[in-house]
Amino acid sequence: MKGNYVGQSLPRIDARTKVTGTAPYPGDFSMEGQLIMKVLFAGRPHARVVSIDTREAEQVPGCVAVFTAADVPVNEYGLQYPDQPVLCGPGGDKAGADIVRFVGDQVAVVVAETAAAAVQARELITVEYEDLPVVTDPRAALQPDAPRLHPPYPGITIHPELVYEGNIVSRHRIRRGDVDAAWANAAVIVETEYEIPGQEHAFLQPEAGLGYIDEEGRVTVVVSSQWAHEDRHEIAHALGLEEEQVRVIYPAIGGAFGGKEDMSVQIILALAAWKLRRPVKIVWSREESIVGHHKRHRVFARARWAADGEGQLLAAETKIVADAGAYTYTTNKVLGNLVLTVNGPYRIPNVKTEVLGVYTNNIPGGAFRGFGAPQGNFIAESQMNKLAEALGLDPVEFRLRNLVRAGEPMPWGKPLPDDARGLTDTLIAAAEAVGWRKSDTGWVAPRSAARPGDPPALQRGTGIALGVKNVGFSFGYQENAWAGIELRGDAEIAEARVYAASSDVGQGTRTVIRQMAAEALELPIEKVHVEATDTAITGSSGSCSASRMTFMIGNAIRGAAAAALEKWHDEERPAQADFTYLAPKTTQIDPETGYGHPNFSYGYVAVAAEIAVDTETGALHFPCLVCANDVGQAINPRMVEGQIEGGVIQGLGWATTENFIEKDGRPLTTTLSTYLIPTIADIPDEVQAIIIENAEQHGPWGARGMGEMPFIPVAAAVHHALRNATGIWYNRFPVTVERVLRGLKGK
Amino acid sequence: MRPFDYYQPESFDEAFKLLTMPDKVVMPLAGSTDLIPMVRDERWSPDIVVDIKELPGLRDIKPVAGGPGCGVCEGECLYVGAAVRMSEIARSPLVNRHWGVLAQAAGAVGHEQVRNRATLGGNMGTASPAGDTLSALLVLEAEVLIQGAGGERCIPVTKFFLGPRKTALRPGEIIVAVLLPPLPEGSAGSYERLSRRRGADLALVGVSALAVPYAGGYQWRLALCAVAPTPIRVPEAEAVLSAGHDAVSLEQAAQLALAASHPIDDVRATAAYRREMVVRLTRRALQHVVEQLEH
Ligand SMILES: Cc1cc2nc3c(=O)[nH]c(=O)nc-3n(C[C@H](O)[C@H](O)[C@H](O)COP(=O)(O)OP(=O)(O)OC[C@H]3O[C@@H](n4cnc5c(N)ncnc54)[C@H](O)[C@@H]3O)c2cc1C
Repeated sequence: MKGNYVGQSLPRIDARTKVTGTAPYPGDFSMEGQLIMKVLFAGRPHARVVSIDTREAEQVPGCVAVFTAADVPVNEYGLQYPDQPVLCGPGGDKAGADIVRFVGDQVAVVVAETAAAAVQARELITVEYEDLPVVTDPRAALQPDAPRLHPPYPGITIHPELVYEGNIVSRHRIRRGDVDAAWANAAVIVETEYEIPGQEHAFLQPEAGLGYIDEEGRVTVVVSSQWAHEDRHEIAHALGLEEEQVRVIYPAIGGAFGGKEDMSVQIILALAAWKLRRPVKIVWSREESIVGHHKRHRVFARARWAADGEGQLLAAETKIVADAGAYTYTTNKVLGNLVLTVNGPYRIPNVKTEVLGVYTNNIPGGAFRGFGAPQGNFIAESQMNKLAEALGLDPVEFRLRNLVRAGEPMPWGKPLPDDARGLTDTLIAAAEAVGWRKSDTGWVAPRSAARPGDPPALQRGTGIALGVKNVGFSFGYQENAWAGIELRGDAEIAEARVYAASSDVGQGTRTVIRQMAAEALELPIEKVHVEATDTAITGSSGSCSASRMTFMIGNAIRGAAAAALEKWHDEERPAQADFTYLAPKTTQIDPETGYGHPNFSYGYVAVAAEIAVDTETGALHFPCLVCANDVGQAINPRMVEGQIEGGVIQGLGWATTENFIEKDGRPLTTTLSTYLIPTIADIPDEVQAIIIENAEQHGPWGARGMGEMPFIPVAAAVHHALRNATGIWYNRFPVTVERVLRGLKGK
Repeated sequence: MRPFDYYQPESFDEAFKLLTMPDKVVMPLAGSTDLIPMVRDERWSPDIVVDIKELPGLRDIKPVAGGPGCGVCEGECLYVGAAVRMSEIARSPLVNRHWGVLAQAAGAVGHEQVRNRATLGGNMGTASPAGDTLSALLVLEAEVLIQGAGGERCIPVTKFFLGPRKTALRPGEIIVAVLLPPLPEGSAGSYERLSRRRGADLALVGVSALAVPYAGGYQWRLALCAVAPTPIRVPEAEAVLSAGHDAVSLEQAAQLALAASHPIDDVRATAAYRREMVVRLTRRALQHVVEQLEH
């Protein structure tokens, strides 16, 4: 549908300020009399902090305070389970808070009149460590003699999948049918070990913020993260304050991708501002950012899948060990999505899946665009491409035969909540765009012939993968979002003010909010103003994650708009209303069988990749990547294209050049000259964004979430293309130039 | 970042006064694409930086008759000022006329934004083993025009690079220009480089090859970067090629290039991979030259 504003590619409301460099990011805020904060990171992967001596540091002229564990009222933090000290060290009453468990653990914060004084004082803090044995491979951390990284779990069940047995953080299972009985009937069995890498978010703007006491006495932080009200909750908890005593404001945000879901500078800024009653500012360097925030989960997997002679899937057995790193973060939720995606959207009568999240002394694993789905998808789609090949079937044809039909159960026993037409539509659209054709006998892949001018060392290939992922918070959580609208004017509405605690991380949420509000209010868009994200003036609109902002806030806006218009017609001036949208209910999944109804909405996406491989150097080139994404309804098509292009390229980086190297718990790639994200010279010659719109029944104007989807199938499609070009399955990535070459040499 | 004082002198006198300030760490500055990251990472700590971009002649590209410094250049040399930016070198019709291998190398540095700042003199001043233009300067047998408070001197580029980040510059001296000796009609050159990513990534291996018509045949020159503490010429390979370039000698030259290389293991790549790439990139560079000769 195209409305006055919905479905229109309007310019972003922040375009001008961003292009001209005036958009205010957290690091741009300063206040009279502000102090500068620096963090002392542990810099070692596992140790007991025996003592911290800050006396010399405090003598540095200009040093105002040094805070350590003893200064944190409630020294714990964690989005899912509070297993991380805000500051590690002795002196508190929290068991295990004196241990550092990864290099980025924060040991002390220094606050000084100048940055130079803060740095000097930080160097004069003496920390006595007693090093502890380090475990960095999650498979080794499962062994009975592995060092145990956390004190025993007190045993209160928060989420059933959070088990805390030894170093096991979380466990997810799916049990359906009987895989062991199925192998005998198989025409083909494909068994593979996969090693899937972590990934650094590399958002443009490293963590930064300003903390101060506002005019109403609230400790306030101006930061850039992903859920203002959750930040407020975590700060209040650690400081032992009521949430009303804490205020969080989001200005312009320079990217997040999940990397700003967990706390980095929020609590320490609030702590210092609260204790010192002065403004405090912090800006992390790129190195601090890379060490100081979590990464995508590294995953080790073994998958054994079977199909019969008719090309029907018979069984899928998959065992996964994921590196949770030093703390829980959102591991259990990430791996919940992994377990739902690792069997694909296919009809598989016999399924046995086990997913473990395991503590190690690496940088924690956490949220990152796709939230477990990319890892699950890589395994599922690689298995599908291999099975198709083993059966001599076209991979598109093979998928179409096995896709769940409307109403058919997924491996967790319940069907997808809609007819999932998007699976077929996106698959075919992406396939056709790179040359798949339908013949009388089914779909036929394009031939990857050499092109005129190709040097002999160049080989070409085409690959494809299909993906699915949930939209919104799930597994029994009552998903909700708040929005408020205020209509001002006399006889006519002169102005509408829209309130929502969104997090515009660059995807354009605030622009979309304005378009949806103008549409719902039937007002000219010039009259609609989107207010700041500030916990002082808004309710919670939830996290900027799970591809949920447009879907959830859009629905809240529709509710708020209807209520505000009603008041307007009742002559209220100004007419004010707010509305909390509650999404359809979901359930947890059974810890033993996986049975349940975990999600209320899904997005569907397919990616096709054309690759050119220099077989002498291992260098890869991508003539074309196609992404077809069922977004339900594009509220702003151009911004959807932007998300598709960005997501596809970020996925390409994960698959190819982004090699995050940690050795014995120490990251070796802490700069953007050693950790390589794609540059403009590395992107495909062409990224084709195909927008498919099968309306989502619960979505605002039919929209479904899409921010994560384009990322998800990229790695599997690239690997399929690489296989078709070289004859090799690289089951481990990133496929760096060197790894490609090693593979070509059969090593 | 540690603060420093910044000056932009417009005369050499003024520049050398600054560059020889006693008890201060003084550094020349051109595009600052190396200097600023180094200061930020606390590896360099200048008290004063002297921006040399506005000094007379430092941004010129011009033909000059005879080498003003060494007199080695007979006939028409090309003078390339030290503060000429990579993007200008890459696009310069003058440089591309005979000395295209330098244009190619300059065009391979970093990415467009970097090339719009980075200078030839800065690449040489940094003297990174991986500096892209360095092997091209070696095969072109460039002369380096140097000036200091005590006057001007000129040395062959082969004597300029002494080690990683070590050059023949004496305290207070700056590079004014390089002089590219004339090359006869029919010369052909090629620069090949490989990095893990196409944009803004240091070369894992860089190879410059040049064939110069000589006595009815060709005199070959081959130089490598990123595989030894300094950029290196490979005279053994050159001798083999100059005796006649055919499939066998090309292969031999590639193997001799390998024998001359001592690449390292680091987070970017293993030494084993780099060694293999020396052979393959050398082969490619040579083949590209041969293709041009045959045209
Ligand atoms: C993102 C990025 C990517 C890069 N990629 C590459 C690459 O692919 N290949 C590559 O070779 N380099 C690369 N570099 C490094 C750098 O850009 C080059 O070495 C460049 O040529 C340096 O020139 P500059 O003018 O910026 O030097 P500056 O930073 O100004 O100076 C560098 C050094 O040279 C000295 N110096 C400068 N001019 C003179 C002079 N006239 N006389 C004496 N000393 C002088 C300075 O004192 C300093 O020590 C990259 C840098 C960045 C930031």
